[in-house]
Amino acid sequence: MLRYFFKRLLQMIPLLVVVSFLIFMFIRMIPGDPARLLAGQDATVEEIEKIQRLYGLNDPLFVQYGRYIAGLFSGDMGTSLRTGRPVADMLLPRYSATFTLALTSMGWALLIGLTIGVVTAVFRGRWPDYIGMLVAVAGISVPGFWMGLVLIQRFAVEMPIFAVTGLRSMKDFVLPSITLGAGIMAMIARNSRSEMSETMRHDYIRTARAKGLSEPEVILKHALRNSMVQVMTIIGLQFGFLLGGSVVVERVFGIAGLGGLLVDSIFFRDYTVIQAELTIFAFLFIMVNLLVDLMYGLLNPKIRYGGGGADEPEQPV
Amino acid sequence: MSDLILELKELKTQFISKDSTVTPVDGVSYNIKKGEILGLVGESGCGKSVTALSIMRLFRDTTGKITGGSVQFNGKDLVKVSEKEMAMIRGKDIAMIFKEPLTSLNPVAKIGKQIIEVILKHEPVSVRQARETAVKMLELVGIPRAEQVMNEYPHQLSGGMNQRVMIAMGMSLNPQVLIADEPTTALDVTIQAQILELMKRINEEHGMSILLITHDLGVVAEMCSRVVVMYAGRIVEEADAENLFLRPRHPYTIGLINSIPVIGKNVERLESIPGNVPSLTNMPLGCKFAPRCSKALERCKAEEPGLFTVVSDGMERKCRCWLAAEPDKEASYA
Amino acid sequence: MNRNSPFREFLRKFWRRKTAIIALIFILMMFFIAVFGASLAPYDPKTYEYSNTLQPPSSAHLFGTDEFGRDIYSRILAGARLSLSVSLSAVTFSAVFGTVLGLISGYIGGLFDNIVMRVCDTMFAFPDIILAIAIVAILGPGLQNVIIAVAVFGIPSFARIMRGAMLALKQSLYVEAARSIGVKSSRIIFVHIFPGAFSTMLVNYSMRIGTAILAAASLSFLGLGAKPTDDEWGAMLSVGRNYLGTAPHAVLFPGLVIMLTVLAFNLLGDGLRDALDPKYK
Repeated sequence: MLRYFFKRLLQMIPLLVVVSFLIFMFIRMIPGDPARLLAGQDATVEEIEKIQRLYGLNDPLFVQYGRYIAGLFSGDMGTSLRTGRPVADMLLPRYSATFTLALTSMGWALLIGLTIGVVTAVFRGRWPDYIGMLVAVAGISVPGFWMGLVLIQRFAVEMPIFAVTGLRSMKDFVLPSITLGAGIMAMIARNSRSEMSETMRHDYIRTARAKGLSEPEVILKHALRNSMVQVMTIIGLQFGFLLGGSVVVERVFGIAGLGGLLVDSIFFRDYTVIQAELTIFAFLFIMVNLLVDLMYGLLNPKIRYGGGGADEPEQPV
Repeated sequence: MSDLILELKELKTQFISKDSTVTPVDGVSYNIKKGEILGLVGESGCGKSVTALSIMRLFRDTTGKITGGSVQFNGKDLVKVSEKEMAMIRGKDIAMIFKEPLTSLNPVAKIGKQIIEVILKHEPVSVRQARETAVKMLELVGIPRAEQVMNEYPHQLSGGMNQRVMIAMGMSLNPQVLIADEPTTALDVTIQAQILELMKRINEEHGMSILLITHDLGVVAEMCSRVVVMYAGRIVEEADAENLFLRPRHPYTIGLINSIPVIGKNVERLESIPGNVPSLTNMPLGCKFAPRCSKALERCKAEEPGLFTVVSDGMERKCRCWLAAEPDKEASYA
Repeated sequence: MNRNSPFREFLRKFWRRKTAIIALIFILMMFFIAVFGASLAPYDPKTYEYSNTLQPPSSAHLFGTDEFGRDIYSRILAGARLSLSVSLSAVTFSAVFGTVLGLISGYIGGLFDNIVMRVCDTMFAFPDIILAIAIVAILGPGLQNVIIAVAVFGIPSFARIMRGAMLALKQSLYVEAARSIGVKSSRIIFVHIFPGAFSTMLVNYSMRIGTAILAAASLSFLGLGAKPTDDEWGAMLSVGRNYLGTAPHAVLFPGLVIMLTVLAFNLLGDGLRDALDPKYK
């Protein structure tokens, strides 16, 4: 297991290097001279040059990239070109809002999604299956921002149960996380259903039935865990979907999170912030997927023991 | 008769979908006696496995359905009992083991847990007692270091070991019947012999009846006291093992026996039965075997023979062949 | 074997999926509206009527009116053209580009394949919409750039499918047989490999259009896509948002249309997948 963990950890390093480099190059492609932007409309050439020196904007690209990487390791993400504040200070308070939102959304999405997946798998071809799958396909089709607006209209304007905008208490997470989680919930439901159907075809399900287990026992004790192993990997990929969705949902609900800041920064060409945010998003996504891989290993004894895959030779007894 | 444990009567199982209906088991009757090993033989697709699944009623998630006949067991008709009652019989009174031992075990559950599960399901014992029974069962089927194996996963064991685990699991409630569906097909030859020996020992020591399904006549010769031969969803011949091997009557059985390679006998080439098993969707009209039968008469193509009871040399057998019904023709193919 | 029979088989299976049939009819209707929408509209979507702003739905204005008194129903009809053409052109671009890339990558293999797949991995590491936002950030806001952004983030999925199919089929027997009798490489690709991967591509294409409509609408909603004055569904929502308290219909109807259209493409994709996948009966 430990060997597996380190192997996966090592595999991440090249991906992180490539990602960070791409982000870095990407940002330099944004048109417009940030120094000129920073100095203002009627700045003199000297003033612009001064700013360029101050932020090291004239250094060769690889020097700038080295500085950026070195900064990342020491927790320094540069200074915002728009506000002049350290980027890390700007991101930190917003980070917790976005992260909590992502977690609460994932939480309920997992709960409902898996339930729908199991129920539809059990009632394959009958009406609970059709209803469950209709809910799921509607979930991946609904525009998040629209759903958010409709929820606000219903439950904050018409029936003032929740606040229209902002995050002051946990209660304020309800509407945004429903909005953000809807798509994920639907995807988990669809995937767990198809995984369940796939699992139910296996020989050991027949064995479980031949042992005299009832159908709910067969599903909960044998099919669910095996399906979960596959659904886990999907959850990792969908975490990225959550981060992306947070950009829109934060806009709709007026939440001061990372997503809203990203859009603002793009309008202002505040590239140190854009760079830091994209790096954080990519890093989070890669970390979550590493975590998922580890969970996968934990759930799957084939990987936990022996560190190999299915094609590893059987051990003699 | 009290020595009959399981009695199939005119069992008919069909797979029914919107486009087609196929009948892999069509009016099959046979019985299993107390303490015997009955062999059920036939080529793949002849309906022998479906017969076993019908006894256990393991058709959930498929389109399979028993559409006629009965399965008498302990005074009950298993075709008619409720699903709940059937679940109480599965694993406890009738156990089943399968062809692929590795895929038939749950890959993410420990061996011990999988055996304990079936014990707890049917017996009011504590987890500790169930655990002790499970270890005892593993030892009984000849697994060394049983205690350790309890905590291992199927992929850590060899195919033969996994089949032993399956047998241990099937035996842990001391069922009256063990159905073994091609239990050695997926195993190495040397392991095959060990598993067969184990099953024979269990049969002798515990008096457990075994329904052994196989396509391998060699296995049957070694294990069974009585044999049922199936072809295309029907029984074509049924006899005591010795009688069947020495004096096969049905042309299909004769073909099967002739296709067994015999060591030491120098032959140009192995004999085989020409043609293929008819497809379930396109069955011949008369005798199902007629298109492949070298002895087929005009009558065979038009009219299907019944399962005639034939007595020869004081031994009774059943044979589904027109030739068997007409003793004067016997000479022509003996 | 009859050359038509797999296709017949597909049609027969597809016909059984009633939801997919309904979805297909809805999509065809949407295309019809996209082409003729402007002439079908009861009102000119560009005409302002200041005496009649933000009116709730009535018999005169089916979906009500917006902040300038324009008929929302007419604007939605007119907007079908923009919304559909944006997503269709973006996904078609990703499909063509991704297919070519995947084919070349899978066929050549080696270093080129390695680089292409690493870049695809990296693109997968970014949430779709964030990648699109980043691309719009470079190119600047505007519908044209939204198309490019949505197209770019669709490329990896097509490339991967094609590469996977390429690798699998490269080793399969019938391609080997074709190669052994001296069939040219280009012919192998187009006669043997392409039809094999076609079904997966078709399903992905349909599903991707749904995603693209959502992404384009999201970008417009964030103010990065269509101009607020454009007849575009996402932009209509974005503006309508300001009147949520007084005129919820200005948000409700454009959103509903987006959702139904995306739903239709997803259901069509589901139906195609089930009909094309030999695993399903």
